[in-house]
Amino acid sequence: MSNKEQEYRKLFISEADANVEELETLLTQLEKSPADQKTIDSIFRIMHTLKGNAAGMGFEVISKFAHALEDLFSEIKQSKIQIEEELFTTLFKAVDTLKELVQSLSDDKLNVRYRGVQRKLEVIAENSRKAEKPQVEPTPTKKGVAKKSVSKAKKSSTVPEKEEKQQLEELQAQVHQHQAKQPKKAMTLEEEKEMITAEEKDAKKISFSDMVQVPVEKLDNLLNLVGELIIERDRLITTHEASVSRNEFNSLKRVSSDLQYSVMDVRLVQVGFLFNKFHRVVRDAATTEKKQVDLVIEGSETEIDRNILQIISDSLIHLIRNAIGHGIESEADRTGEGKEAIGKLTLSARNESEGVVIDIKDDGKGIDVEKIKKKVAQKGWVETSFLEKMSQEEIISFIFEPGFSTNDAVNSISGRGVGMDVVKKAIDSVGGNIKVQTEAGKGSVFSLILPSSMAVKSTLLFEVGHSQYAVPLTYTDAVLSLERKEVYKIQNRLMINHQDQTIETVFLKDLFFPEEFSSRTEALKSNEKWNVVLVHYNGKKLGLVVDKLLQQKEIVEKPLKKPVDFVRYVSGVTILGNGKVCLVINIPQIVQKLFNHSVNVNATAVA
Amino acid sequence: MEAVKEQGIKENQQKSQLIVFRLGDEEYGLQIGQIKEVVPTPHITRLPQTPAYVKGVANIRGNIIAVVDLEEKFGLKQEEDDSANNYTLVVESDEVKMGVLVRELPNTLNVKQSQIEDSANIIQDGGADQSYIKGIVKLDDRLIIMLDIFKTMSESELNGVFKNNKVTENV
Repeated sequence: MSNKEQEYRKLFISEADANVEELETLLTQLEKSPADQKTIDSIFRIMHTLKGNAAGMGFEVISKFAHALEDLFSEIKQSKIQIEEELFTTLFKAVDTLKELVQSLSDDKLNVRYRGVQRKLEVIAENSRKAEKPQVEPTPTKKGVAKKSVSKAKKSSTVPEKEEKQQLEELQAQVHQHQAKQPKKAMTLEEEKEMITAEEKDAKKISFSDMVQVPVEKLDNLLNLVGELIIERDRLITTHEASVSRNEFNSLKRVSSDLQYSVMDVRLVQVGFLFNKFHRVVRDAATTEKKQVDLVIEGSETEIDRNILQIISDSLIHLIRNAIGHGIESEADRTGEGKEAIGKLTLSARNESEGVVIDIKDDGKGIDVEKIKKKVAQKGWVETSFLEKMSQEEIISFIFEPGFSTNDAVNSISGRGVGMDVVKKAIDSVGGNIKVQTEAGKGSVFSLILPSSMAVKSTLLFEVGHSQYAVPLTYTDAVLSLERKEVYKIQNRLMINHQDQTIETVFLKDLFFPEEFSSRTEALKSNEKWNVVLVHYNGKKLGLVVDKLLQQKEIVEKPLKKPVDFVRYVSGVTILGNGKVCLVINIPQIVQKLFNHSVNVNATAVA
Repeated sequence: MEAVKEQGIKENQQKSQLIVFRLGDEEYGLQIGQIKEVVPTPHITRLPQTPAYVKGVANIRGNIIAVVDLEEKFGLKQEEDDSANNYTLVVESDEVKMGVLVRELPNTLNVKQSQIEDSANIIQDGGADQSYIKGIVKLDDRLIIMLDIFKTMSESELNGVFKNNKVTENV
């Protein structure tokens, strides 16, 4: 049995267990208030789901058994069967049998005798159908009389097909059990015996599922508590470091770290659960676009935090639709290019040191860089001469700007100018990153680099003006120590060279506290080396001058609360071992602010 | 009815407990229910994009809260000296929790409800600052200003200043 099959089997069993349990509860409720239509509806719905699931998995026995129960409840639902005590005995027995049948899936030795109960259910349902007509007959309306006369007229052609079928079934049932007049006696002696022995065998055995379903909210809460515990641990260790030997805290450290990782582990789910839903998305999008697309899924067993997967799911759908809408060409175009007629969309996930990487790869025409340039110039975002100097990467990053769309035709899939910026925002919100690679005529790859857990962030700590700050490692490229002469002043801006790239550099203190004495003016006069943290976001690079570089640290980030929750340059805070508050700087916001500002300056310069 | 009610109030004298602290030369008061605790001022980490009177955020018993200097906000600061702000009053409402810097340990004071004058009776002319004043308590030789502390840090208040900051920053 393949891995996936086994997984589905497990899933089915756990779901079926839950279903049966719910059935038991509902049946008990129904016994107390037999007239409650809602309960009957719920039971009917559960039976229907169970039947469908079982049939889908190929568990015919369960499916048929569930079908018999469903049939019976369909009769009850239409109030054709009077609910009486006797019926409940049968129903409870049926649910028990169903439970055993589900158990037998995971235990081969279990030999469940179910035919007797099933037969009984069928008989009750059949009898009800048979009894239906006499119930209708007494109605003194003309219609009823008419019907009666018709049926008495020995199946003339005017008899509705349904009725005819019913009568046929009736006849069959009569043939089956012609010796019996009451439903109870409709079973063979053997079957009855079977029921009794089954009842005696294990009347009081309660079964427990091996899985526990937990609301995500509870997991979130657990994770928060663990985060606070870690902060508190670090604080304790720092305060007592001097007085107590270091080993004293070793086991505390180990246990709390293990606890943290265990909690994080519980929250991990396989990306396959999300990926498998995309077959339909691809199919629908391809049909709308009148294109042929094959979806290939790789690395579906890669694990990622459940909340992250939820947050990015819409983004993934968008990227997939985009790939089909913009990337993959029509069949005629593809054959003309010498490509296979059917486009290929690959969705793959893998673990890397920086986290989980999800690639959405198509073998379409690639992103048209010239088209983007034209659009950008048209929108007046950047001066044309400036555009020419920009790298391909920089130009592609424009697709993530709000209000950008190259597709002129607006349809339900793409071209509305909303989307890519939303995708970008969603990825940013989990501290991830998105990269685009494209080759004309060969296709494009959108890579989402995501943290595997939201609980801890790997950060670099540094100091500015006696306060400590943290910058997430996902945004940092390099750390440089520069001489004054390595920094160029162009107009009023500071530029540095790094790997043949000219990068704008700002003093973090001047950016954060512009009303104060500028540390830049001071630094430009002195001969001390500058500590620069190179960060990147959306293809744009920026150097941040800081006072002192400290260490790398995994932190638990907390959001800023009211009344200061409007601060944009800071994404959150954490408490350091010394009890002081450390600000986590928000690179996307800072980069966007600075670069939008310069774009605006350019725009006004043109005007 | 009316008379009975009045008598009730008189008998009761509806006492109110205030926390009184000094800002500049004046005494200010808050209802004791708004105050969660008073702690020695912890280390404060400055926050960018906030007006100067928001001193930053501090860790008070594991909670990270914003700390404000009302002397600076009300323009009562005489000299640039933060050294004297030894205590932090932690105030709390349903939505907001924040710290207010004070120089000395605040006192408690019992006053009768009748001693608190509604601010509407005192100040008629508009102007932003008055809206933080909820009332005035007059004792023999003292005058205590009752503050609506959460209004001083309301969103529009902070954002207004924040936007001004942004403008100067861009220039």
